[in-house]
Amino acid sequence: MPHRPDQSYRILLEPSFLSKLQGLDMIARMIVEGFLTGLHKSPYHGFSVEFAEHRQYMPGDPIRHVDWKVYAKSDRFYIKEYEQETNLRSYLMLDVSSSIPFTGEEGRIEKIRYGTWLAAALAYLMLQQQDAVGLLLFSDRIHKVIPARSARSHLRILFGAMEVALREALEAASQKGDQLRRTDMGPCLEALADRTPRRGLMILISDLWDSNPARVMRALKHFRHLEHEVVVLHLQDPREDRFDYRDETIFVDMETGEKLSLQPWEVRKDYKRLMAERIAYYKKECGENRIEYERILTDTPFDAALLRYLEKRSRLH
Amino acid sequence: MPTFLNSVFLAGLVAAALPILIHLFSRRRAKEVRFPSIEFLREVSRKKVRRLQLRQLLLLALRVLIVAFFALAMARPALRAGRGVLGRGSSTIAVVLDNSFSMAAADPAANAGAGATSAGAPARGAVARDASSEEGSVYQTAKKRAIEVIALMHEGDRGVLALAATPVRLPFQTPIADLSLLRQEIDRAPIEATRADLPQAIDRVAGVFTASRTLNKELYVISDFQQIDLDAWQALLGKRSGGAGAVDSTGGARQDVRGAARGGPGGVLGGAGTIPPDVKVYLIPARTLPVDNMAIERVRLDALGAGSDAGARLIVTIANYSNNEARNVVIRALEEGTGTTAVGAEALGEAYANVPAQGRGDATVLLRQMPASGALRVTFAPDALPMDNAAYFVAEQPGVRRVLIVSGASDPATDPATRYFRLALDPAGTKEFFDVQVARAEDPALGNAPPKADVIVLLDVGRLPDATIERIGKFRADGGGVFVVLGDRTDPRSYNTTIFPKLADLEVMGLQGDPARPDVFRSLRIAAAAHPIFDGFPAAAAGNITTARFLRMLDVKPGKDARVLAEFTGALPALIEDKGTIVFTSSCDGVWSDLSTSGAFLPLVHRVVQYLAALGGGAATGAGDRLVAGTAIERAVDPDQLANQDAFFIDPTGTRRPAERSEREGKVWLKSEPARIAGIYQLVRADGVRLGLFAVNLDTRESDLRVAPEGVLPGLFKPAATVLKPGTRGITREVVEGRYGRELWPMLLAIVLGLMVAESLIGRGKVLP
Repeated sequence: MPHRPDQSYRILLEPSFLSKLQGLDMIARMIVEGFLTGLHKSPYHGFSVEFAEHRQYMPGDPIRHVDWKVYAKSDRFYIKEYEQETNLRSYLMLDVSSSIPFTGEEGRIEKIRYGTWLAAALAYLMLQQQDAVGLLLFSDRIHKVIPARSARSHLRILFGAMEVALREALEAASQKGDQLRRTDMGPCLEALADRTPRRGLMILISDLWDSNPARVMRALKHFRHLEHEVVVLHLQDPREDRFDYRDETIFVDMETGEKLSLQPWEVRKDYKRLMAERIAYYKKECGENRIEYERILTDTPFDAALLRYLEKRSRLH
Repeated sequence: MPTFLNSVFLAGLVAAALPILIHLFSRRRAKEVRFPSIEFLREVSRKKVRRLQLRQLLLLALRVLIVAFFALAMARPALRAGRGVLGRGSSTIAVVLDNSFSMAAADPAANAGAGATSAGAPARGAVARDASSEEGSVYQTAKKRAIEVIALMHEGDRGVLALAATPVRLPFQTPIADLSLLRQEIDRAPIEATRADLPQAIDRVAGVFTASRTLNKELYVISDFQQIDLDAWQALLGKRSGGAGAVDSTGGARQDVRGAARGGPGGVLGGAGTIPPDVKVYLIPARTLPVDNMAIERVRLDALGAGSDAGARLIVTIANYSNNEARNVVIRALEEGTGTTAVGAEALGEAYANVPAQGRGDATVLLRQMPASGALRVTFAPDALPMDNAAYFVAEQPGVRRVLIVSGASDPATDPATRYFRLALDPAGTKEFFDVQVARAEDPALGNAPPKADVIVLLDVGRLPDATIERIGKFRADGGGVFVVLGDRTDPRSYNTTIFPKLADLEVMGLQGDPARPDVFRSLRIAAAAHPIFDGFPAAAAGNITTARFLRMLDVKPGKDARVLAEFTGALPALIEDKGTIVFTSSCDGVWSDLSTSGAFLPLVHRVVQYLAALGGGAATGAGDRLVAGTAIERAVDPDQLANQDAFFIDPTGTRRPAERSEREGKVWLKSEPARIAGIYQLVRADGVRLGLFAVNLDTRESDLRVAPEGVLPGLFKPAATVLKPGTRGITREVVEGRYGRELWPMLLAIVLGLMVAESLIGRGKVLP
């Protein structure tokens, strides 16, 4: 019987498994370890994260930077790369509008939770790479900006802000109250762009329910104009994709509170067409502007997003 | 405007509200779902909302229509046929045609140009009809109507014919589609010599309708609808309803008749069957104008004159059913052929009669000689209905009658009553008319064998042995006559408990009078003047038969059906007839009365005995003919008379008819088929020896041509029948407009199917991928 590679690490990437864990740091670590394990074991040849930390010793390099562990293993001299030497700044732009706490099925994690965990895993991985990581929380306004730092201790700050945002978003969603946050990311992203003149990696995590897609793209193009690398991670719940409601339903807009009574089967076809058109628009616009676009359903593992990050990071070096 | 054949399913239209209720209910139950953004939904619904609403309304309307049309289809709507209507449904038609002999009457409407009148004296001569021809008769008119009805049939229709003269006959037992066959049967259906039995005929066709599945079911009754038919019909209905309907022929009778009809779902008629309520009944009167008619009701021979120098006398009774007196009606008696002798052209006797309007009159025809053939035809000039203007009579010399006197005396030879009787019956002892035998009541031999007699006289008998009572009871039941003369030896208890129960429905109540008081006496009067026993008696109906004085008699109470022929002063029954038994309630011993020495004793005894003898023998001698067309002739013969040969009947046309043979109590009974025509029938042995001669006549109740009131007959049916009078609207229009055209349920179901397909196509968006 042919030997099958061990796939047990993949459970660390499953949202359903991770939802049983507590603590963003734990979750983030699990995701990253699962991802990295998969990288090593997969036939994927690209790069190794570890190599990004070393370079070969050249005469004249300070002896104190030699990584003696690597020498012990490989009998070769390598110099550790430090933060200032990589000089990569990354920003995680997380959508916390009222639409993001949506889940289409009981038992499935909300988009906000998925997005938060994804952001946390990315932050963990980035800091592990000694990249500087910053955070932007936005809806129709900027809720919080945490400048990019590369210290390991920065992770705690990032996680703290993410957890608060997650909790607030979920509370706001459960209360169905007046605190509705619309999505108007264009101005928010442009404000961040003004504050990040140095080239970096901008990762947008959002469900893109912005009523002005052109303005969104304008903001993203602005990042490109500033020579940032941009990754758009378009989060969607599978229900948003399938729209497979069977009964006559009164739909309540999570961002505006507006209600609309429909027989879903009557409009399903047109809805999916419009959704496909929107996605196609973003794909096209992103493609034309060399922005990485990835549509991520919230019932899928996290590795795709992490891979995108690594691909982008390698382009920057 | 359609009619609904299953209107109860119209209640299903209420179910058409169900889709609306479901729609409303489902809308109320729509739940709220929080969705990230309704941006796309709003955009889609904005474009489509009106179309969506229309579509929803259309689907709702389709579903309501599907339920509604389905309910309508189940209710089986049908459009009445008529001009311009689309299509027609198939029909089952039954025609009951009255072919009784009353239909042979001249049709006043058809003969209007020939001088017939609807009132006044019978228009003899001008409307004298050939009895053998249907031309100008009511029957011809009836057949035309029947053909008109048949002509309304189309492809897919079925028809059946019933001929209503007794016995009712159906040429086809099941409905047929071949119109030419039906027409043929109608054309060749003859007038019968019998009466009509319309209820029986309708009963026979009732089963056809019950089994039929056609849209239209129609019953046509074509008749002259005589008043006597209605009387019999209503009597039958009254009997079925337990006598609740005291019916008459006025309009008020309709309520009673309907009350009698409540027992069944459809019209209740005579017989066992009923017409289903979905059958339309049409009554077609073949004659609407009254027709005057006279008929020979009865012919009898005055036996006293037979064999004497005075010649035989025929007493002919004529009934006049018109409103005018008939005067000087010429009655002729001619010899009737029997196949071996020719019909005589010369009358053997003639008489004139005056007959009151709506009454009866007797004429006495003195025969110059007895017919060689033994048979006579008595006739008068033809009128509107010639068939009943002739009557047949068998005028054989009366044979010697065997009389057995059962005497209650211990020594009949010395008993005064027995002696008086013997002297009255056979004064010279030559057995010229009566062969008299005498036996003692206690003689056990009487109970051992059937008595060899035509009449038994129980003369002042006290008691009888049980076996003797059984024998005499059997004798009477087999057609023998019994003459009971009560007297001093009469034991009331014995008579009430053993003798009368076997012979007659009578009861001895007690004794009246006292022979010791000759000053207190009663006289004897006729109570039934028309009875043949009293033919020729000089006494008037209310007068005394005899001058004899009656000092003592028994008080006998007659039963329900017993008939008092004569009574003593004070309305005490003297001569009572019941079931072939005649009882005289006083004695003939010369003590209770002096009747036995009066001049009336001999003729009275003769008449009674001859009358009873004629009842038993079946031959038409003295008592008149009693055989009517439609009934069977039955005669008992001694086995030695047959001489081991076959026997058969010969009808008036000379055709042989089979004789059904059976044996009972030592005699051979020969029975014919029902006699279909009036005339003289013979019973003949295979070697040609004649065993009997019979006169079969019409049942002259049918001769009363009064028409039943038009308003009463429809009420016999439920729902009420329709009277179609030809010549006004015409049969065709009335019938065709009354018919249902095509049933609409197939079309409605096709619409339902189409609606369901449309609903499915329009609502297809409801199916999830």
